[in-house]
Amino acid sequence: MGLFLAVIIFGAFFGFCATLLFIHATDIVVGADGVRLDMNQILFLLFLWIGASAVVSSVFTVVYSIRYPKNGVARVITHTTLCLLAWLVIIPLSLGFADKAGEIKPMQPKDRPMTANHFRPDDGKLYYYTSVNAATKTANGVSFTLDSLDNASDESRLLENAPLIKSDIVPFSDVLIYNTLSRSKLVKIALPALHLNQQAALTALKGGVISWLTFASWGLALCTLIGVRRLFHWRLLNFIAVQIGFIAICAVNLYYSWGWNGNLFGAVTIPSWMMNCIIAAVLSCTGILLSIFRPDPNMEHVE
Amino acid sequence: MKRITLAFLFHCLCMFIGIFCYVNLTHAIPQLIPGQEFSYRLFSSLRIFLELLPAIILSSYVVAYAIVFGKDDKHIMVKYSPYILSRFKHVAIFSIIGTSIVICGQEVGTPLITHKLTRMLEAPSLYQEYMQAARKYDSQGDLVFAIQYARAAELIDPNSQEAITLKGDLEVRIEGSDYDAPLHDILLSQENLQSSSMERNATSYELLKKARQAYQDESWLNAHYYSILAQRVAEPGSANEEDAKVMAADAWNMLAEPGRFENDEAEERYRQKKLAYSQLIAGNVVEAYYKFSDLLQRYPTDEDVRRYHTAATMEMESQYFFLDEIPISDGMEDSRNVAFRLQQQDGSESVVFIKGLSSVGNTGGLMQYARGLSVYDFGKDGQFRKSLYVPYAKILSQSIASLDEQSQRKLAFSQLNPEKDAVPMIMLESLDRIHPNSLNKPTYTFAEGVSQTTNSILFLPMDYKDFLMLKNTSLNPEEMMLTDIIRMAFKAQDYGYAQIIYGQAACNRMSTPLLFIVLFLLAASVGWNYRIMSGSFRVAWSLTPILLTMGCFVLLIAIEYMQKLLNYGLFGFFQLAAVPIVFFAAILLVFLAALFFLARRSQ
Repeated sequence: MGLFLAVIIFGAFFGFCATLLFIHATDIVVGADGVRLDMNQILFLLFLWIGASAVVSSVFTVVYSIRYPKNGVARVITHTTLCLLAWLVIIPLSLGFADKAGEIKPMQPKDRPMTANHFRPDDGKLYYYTSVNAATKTANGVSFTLDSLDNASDESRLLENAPLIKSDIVPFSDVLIYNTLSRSKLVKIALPALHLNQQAALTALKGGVISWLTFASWGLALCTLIGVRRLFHWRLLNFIAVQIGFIAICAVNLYYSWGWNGNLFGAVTIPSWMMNCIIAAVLSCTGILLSIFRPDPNMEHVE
Repeated sequence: MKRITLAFLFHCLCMFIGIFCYVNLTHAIPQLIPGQEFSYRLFSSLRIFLELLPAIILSSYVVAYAIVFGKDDKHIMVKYSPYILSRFKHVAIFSIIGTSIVICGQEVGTPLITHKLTRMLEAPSLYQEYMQAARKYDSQGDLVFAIQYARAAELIDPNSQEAITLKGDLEVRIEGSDYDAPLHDILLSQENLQSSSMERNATSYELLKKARQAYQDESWLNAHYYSILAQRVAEPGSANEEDAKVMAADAWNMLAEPGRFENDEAEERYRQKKLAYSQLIAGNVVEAYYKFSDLLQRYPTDEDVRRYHTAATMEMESQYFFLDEIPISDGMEDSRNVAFRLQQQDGSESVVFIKGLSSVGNTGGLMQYARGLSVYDFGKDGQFRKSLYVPYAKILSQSIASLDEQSQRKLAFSQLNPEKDAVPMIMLESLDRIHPNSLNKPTYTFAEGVSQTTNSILFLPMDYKDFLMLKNTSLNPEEMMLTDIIRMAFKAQDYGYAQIIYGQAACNRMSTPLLFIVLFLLAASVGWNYRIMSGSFRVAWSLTPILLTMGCFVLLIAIEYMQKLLNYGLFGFFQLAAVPIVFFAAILLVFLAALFFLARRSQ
């Protein structure tokens, strides 16, 4: 229970801070004042990350049972109780509060004008504005064609009331920040996925009890991950197996949220809840069989 | 331990082979110099391998510690046990070794390989450019320039028959010619320049003595020249100045008198020398230089011609530079797209853009050649005032103390030490060493109502060290050296760059080694927590390091991203004070990670 609470508290705090830092970075326009979040947005982030931490908490309790494998049955019962608490109480409540607090759409384009006195690269050119008119979104300055052997042009151009550069740098406000933070493929995948998942969870919550239970079948699949904790004789491999299982279950559910109808090889269509139940059944059976036929390999043999 | 080290090396080898196969199967080969395909694949694989290296080492450490701790541990351990304390020493040493390898890979290996790959990718275009230049100069009759470019093209592609043939053809033609090559060699001779520079350092008394000696030898040119030099260096109103004036007038009168000559050719030579000399004394340096160059070609052994050609060259080089000074090699320019802005004392600003910069070897960067230099001047209100563009310029480090008072005042070196610091001096006008009428001047554009003043030499109001820093500055700080990033973090704002970008990069790069020590200490803790309990490592588990490598790679990307976000946040709040904050926070993390490892215990 202590670990479960710690994961939720620290996870929410860490995720909240990370999102605030990300929002701060997306709002930066070099040479301009920062944008401040209002209290509603802060509450939204906090509740959202409490829910997200509750999703991840199940992995931590499984990992803990690998590291400290004593009292196996008690561990399974505690783990299951905590999963139920997470998916039937904490996650719906935190999502509900978050929905009431408001919403942040981090992937929306920003509309902050560039500032003067800084070099900015854009589309093979280097821009330098000496003065910017924020109202008309025009600027004076100069642009230089960046030199490369593919581009032998010597063009440099004086800018007089020229429109400000406006490239596709969503969700960032300044191309300078975009260039240092947008290269990571992980972020390009993770951000839209998280946003999509949040939307799917909120839709399920608003759809009523059955709708939420269908969505929460994801939690059932995650809960039964404890079944693979004895799969290998080396607990590092058991740890890896749990991590892979967690990523795989989340990926399948995200794929459903993305719009997949569950059609397997054009032969059969499986809804998300059924898919999660099948996964849960397989993992539970594996766990039961292993607990019957194999002594716990995670136990330490000391003299 | 030996077996574990071997296993680690085997893991690295397997990963490299895997990456090499991946590159071969998925990467299309771009246009390259023939024969470089294998090298390109190899270096591309190495670059990916170096990207994965931190994850490979981290995962190897986890597995190795899991094996080592699994073998050693057969007793119940409590927190901070002597066993853990004794193991900590090894863990700390291996953490430092692992960190060193990672940092070497990131700071040395990756930039070197990236540079090599860039050169490979640009080589075909560069080869074409040099071959075109060689043919162009060949058609214009500039065989010396042509062969320089042909040699550079051959260096890029040593197997190119086209380049070899052109170079061979040019060599034969130059050997058969009695015009260009010997003259070019004479012109480039350093011996004469040295003697002339010695004369420049002489006192008025020494110069006057030389003038008198020359007068006695009836060498009127020398007598006049030395007396003029003595006049220049003598203190105004001194006796030496008066003597020098008298001597100069006497020598000039003697020069004007028609003399006796052995033959017509001697008379013509004297007339030509006197004409060229008059131009030199009158300050028409360019005309004097070409006239003496012409005379030197015809009378290469004439002492007067050699001396005054050297003097004219020295005068020329203080105002112009020769186009053939620009270094041409198989390599690329040192830097491309160098841009900065300079704030003037009156609030106006200049924007400087250089397409390419090449430094001359063994000068410590004190002499640079710029390609495609643009300077735009803007008023306080941000409105355009004037601009200049020049295809080539020479940039030198000029000490402030050596400038006259007016120049010093004009440049207003508020943040510079006039006694110690130097500024960039840009020579905007260039000439062909051999062919007259080839003066290249900048192209100017003026806004309406702005006085149309032009310069042949430009002094930039900035420290030359800052200019060298800006030369190494990239808009992507990840491509820069750590020392340059740290300097740039303090000065970015002055030169039109975003301090926050370089500040966060400085925080990142400075804290990265400490962060890797933390990760390696944590890897040891994970190795302990998940140590092998049931005997030895099994072959069936061989995939574990690869799976862990992939997991560690994703984790490292996430950590790096978080590190950047945190640094942006801290820099936004604390500005430059964020650098020590991040550094001390990283040290604190190392301490906590060490404590975390020492707190390992049995179940």
